[in-house]
Amino acid sequence: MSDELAGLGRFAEPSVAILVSLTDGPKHGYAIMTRAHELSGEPLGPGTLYAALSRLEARGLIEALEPEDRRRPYRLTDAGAIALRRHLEQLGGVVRTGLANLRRSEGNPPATT
Amino acid sequence: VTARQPRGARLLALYPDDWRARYEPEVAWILAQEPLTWRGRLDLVRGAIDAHLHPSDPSPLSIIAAISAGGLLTAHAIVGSLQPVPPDWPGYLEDTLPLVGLAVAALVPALVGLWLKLGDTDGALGRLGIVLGIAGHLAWLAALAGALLGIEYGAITAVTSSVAMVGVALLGVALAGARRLRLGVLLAVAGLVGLAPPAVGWVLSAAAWTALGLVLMMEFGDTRRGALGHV
Repeated sequence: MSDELAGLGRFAEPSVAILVSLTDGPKHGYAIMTRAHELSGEPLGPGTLYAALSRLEARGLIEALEPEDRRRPYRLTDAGAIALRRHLEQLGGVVRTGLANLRRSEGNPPATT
Repeated sequence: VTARQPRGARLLALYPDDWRARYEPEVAWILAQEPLTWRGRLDLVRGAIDAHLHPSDPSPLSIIAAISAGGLLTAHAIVGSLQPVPPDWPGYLEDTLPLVGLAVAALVPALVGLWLKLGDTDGALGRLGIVLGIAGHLAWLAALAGALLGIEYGAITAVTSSVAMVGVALLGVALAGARRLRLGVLLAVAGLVGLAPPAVGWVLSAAAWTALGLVLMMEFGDTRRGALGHV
């Protein structure tokens, strides 16, 4: 995990889902919550959502836009896009290696000891 | 939040004022969109605890406490070093206990403030450090209060202060491991020299706590400048 996201402790995973949900454009809290749930399969509560949003905002990875009624959209910053790309590339390496190893073991099951 | 507030919106009253000023309308809007489950309520309560533990605008209390502790420990070191046969001169308890007692009391909020610096990187070592540090300082304070009442103080203050110093040192190591190097090293030094013989330990511990207070003050200034820059 990239340094910017690793320092978020238990908020690192929800933060990744939030950042990914913002990759296709700014969203307000409810839309982020819904999209993050779709992406990760895990419901994201409002308490966790705003704890993560405040951290991401403080680190300059997202920024709040002008409020629309009572909803405030958030946007991925350049720093946020870089941190997310770095994290996804690291994750991509793990996924590729894991899948390749599984394919090999499925074709040629290891002998049990 | 109006009179027809959504279910669960009352839980937002648990959040600190600055958080509510910034986020409450947004969260209240979310709560109005769909019924809040018991899991969602629990999540809001956890969020409130987190918002209190990690305020966006840090309290200056730990800075004041650390600098006060440094000053009191320095005064204590001066009083001690001016005596011909420390630490058993006549009137030792009357001369030193108020200074040490106030310093130990000030170290508790200073330690809590430093533990909060670990933020989301708080781990087992940091938690062990803060538990030993706070329990040790409170027990040390009780032992000092007991000494004023005539209860034997030598062995018990040695044990309780040692536990407190081990806690301080562990918290320092945890901070250094979490890349808070300046604070971590100074805190570890404050804890380790606190285990040294009195004359040397007092002076070095006083210096380390004063330096910690100054570093905290600089970081606080940077945070405030950063916050003003975002306005």
